[in-house]
Amino acid sequence: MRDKTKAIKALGLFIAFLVVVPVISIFIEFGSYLFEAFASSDESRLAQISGNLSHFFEFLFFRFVKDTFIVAFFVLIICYILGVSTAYLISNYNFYLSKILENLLILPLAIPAYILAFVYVGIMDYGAEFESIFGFRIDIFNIYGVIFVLSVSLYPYVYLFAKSAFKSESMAIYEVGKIHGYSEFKIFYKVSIKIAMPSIIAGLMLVLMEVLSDYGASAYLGVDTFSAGIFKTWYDLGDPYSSSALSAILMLCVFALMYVEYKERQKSKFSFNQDISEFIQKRDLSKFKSIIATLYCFMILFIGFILPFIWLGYWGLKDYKLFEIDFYILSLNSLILAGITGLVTTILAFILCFVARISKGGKFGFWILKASSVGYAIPGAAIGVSLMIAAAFIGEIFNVAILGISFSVLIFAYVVRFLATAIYSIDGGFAKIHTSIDEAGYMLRPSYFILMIKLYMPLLKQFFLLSFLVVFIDTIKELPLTRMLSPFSFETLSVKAFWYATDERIYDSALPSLMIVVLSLFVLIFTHIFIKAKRARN
Amino acid sequence: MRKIIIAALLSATTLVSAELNIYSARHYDADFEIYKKFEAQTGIKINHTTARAPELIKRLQLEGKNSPADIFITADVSNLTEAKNANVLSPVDSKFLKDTIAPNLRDKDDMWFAITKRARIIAYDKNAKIDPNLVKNYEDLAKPELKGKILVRSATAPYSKTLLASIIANDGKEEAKKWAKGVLDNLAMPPKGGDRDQARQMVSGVAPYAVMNTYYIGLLRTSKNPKDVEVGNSIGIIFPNQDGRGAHINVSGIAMTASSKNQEAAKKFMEFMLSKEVQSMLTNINYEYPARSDVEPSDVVKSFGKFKEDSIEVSKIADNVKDAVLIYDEVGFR
Repeated sequence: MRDKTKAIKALGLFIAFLVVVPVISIFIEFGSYLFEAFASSDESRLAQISGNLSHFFEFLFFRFVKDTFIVAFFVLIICYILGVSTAYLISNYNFYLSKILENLLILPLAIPAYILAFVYVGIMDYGAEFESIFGFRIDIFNIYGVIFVLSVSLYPYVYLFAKSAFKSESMAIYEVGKIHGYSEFKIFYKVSIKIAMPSIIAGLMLVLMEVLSDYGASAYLGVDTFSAGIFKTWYDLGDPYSSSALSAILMLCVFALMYVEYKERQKSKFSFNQDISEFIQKRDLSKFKSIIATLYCFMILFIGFILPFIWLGYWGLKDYKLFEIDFYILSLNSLILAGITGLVTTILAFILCFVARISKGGKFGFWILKASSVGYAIPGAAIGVSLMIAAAFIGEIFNVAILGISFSVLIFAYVVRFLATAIYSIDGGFAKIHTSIDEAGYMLRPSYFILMIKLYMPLLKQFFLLSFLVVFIDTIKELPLTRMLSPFSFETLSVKAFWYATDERIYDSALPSLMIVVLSLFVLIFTHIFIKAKRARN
Repeated sequence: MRKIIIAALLSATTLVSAELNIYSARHYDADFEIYKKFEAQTGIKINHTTARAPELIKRLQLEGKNSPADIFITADVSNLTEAKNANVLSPVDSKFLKDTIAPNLRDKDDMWFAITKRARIIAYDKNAKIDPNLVKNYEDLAKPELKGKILVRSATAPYSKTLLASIIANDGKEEAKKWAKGVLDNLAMPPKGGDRDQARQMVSGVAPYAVMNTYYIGLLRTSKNPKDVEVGNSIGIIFPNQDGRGAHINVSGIAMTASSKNQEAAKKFMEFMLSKEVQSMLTNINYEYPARSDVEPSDVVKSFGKFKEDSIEVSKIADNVKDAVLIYDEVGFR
């Protein structure tokens, strides 16, 4: 058993290493560039970097950090409120349309934040729909607009994670609360929310990482986030080296946050028995409360999904490209890429979480999971560059150009970027499995493979689907990596939508954006049917 | 006879198997149609990759001699200069290109050649009461009497950078800095959104003037959305500095990469881009000014009016772009 433990740990280490290499190679390149400059005493290089960095810190740093902080702070608060409240209602109560709403509430995630920004600028424009109905305008070209757009498109992370947590809470807890004479609301904020906290925080961490790496929406709405700063030094000052120095700062901050989260989690460790029959049962609401709950969920869905969807549909379905074969090839490209990525990432995340689990929650497990997750917080373009470096390096050895001919680099890049979402999804599931189950399992002395397949897989099924879904949606709307690492003449929906949008042909970007949403919806329904069929068989 | 058939077949297969790889930062439907046309006319297959110019330049640098790219295309002259300085381009000796493109629109070492032009103009709201003598030059935008009357895009937009760079090239750094500060003080609101957003804000009465790019006026006037068309038609165009150096123009350009293993086909494609037929396509589909002076602009572009262009070498402007970025940051222009 001990030898096997070493082997499985080595496997985990290897996967984590593969994922960390591209993240670190940004800094290796930067370091070697500096080293060369020192070695050749080439003053001009050093002067350029120190000049650009000191310029950045003198004129930009404060502004960028301030905006990032404000945006992150408010987006987290709003996502927390929206995500937790809707998740609790959906998982604990029956009300009108609650079954349909349960699935639809995920959908705002499928509209890329920068597209949502464009759509809302369109809706809120001078003389546009909003003004003609309400008679006044709300300007969203500001920090409030960024907070609004990011909150609306990211709250589903919190919703998803909180929902899985609430759903798997034990009936016993609810009953204990009732015996103590707690009101429904008191049970919610005194008991349920505390038990679900690790999952909620995982969702919030993902939101935070997305906010830190967002560039498109903030740049368009005129707000300087830290990622915009990273790109500014590269695109405007023509200095990719200073921008990697800034990426390093961002990464360290994320690591620090992860560590804090881990420490907090250590403090509040508890897991409950996993007897399926004892999960919380849904309760009925009175007519009035039902209507309120339905309206509340519907309102969030309307702002985050229905309204933008109608807008995209209105312009998208007028597009003559709807009848061109090229557009469907594009859609198929996106679908296949996202599907493969979702699958591969989920499998790798499962292996990593398993390794962390059998290393009994020690430091080893923590570092393996966190190191594999850090790619999510770094702007995609920075990961793209480091993969270019890696691919060029390998190409140098074999004397071929790897980029442009194969999907492997692109899919690998997606894995580096999105492994975090898969890990958070699956790790949340592991946290719910009581450690006594492990002990019972180990008694039988099975191989690790059997342990994974027979013991954990059935227990984690819905967390796998969650992971697949989130990675799928993330991939299908992903931008910089797809742009930078795609094979020749290969395009996806998100890239098409992005170019039209950057070119200010916003009505042309409606159709590909619409298709991104439709495909995400399709996968959502598919996973839902899959779960249902499984349940029926069981 | 049989020999001829075999020879013809062989030559046909070599033609079909020839390929050209393009790294382009331009992603326009017009460009894709041009690729298809080139394939149909020559039998050379085109593979393309589109990304932002800095990303493509970085990729060319990293791939070095192994890079599959033959052609590099980008909007904005500063990107062309950046690529040249990164040593990823190779000079092209083509009499045709030299004869068709004015010297100020190509690199002096034949590293890149313009394919289209766009002008940065001052738009005004036709429905606003304005004094026609108040704004005639870019320099006028910094006049104190224009306080709260101007809309400008963010300093990070390439057109904002090259405009200030052209002012540095013409008036010197100190003057340029004063100008940037003056314009910043005159803004009706902080810079945000794209060019179309400036136009829409202007027409809705936020301010009577906006600095815009001709290309976007074309987009507005031909938009699917009738509201945009209305906005586009409410825009009056002032071509600046007509009594002096002329209006500032920026270019999109094409270059052969240093790693090209297909130089003949690459050169052929570059010359094809400057053919009359393709130049017409670019102006008709994409509302840009042709780089060739002997090709008529499209009707939409003609409706902007005739004007005198700043004939400074565009590469000189690119040399000042970095200083422009620093100045914008220093005066606090976001």
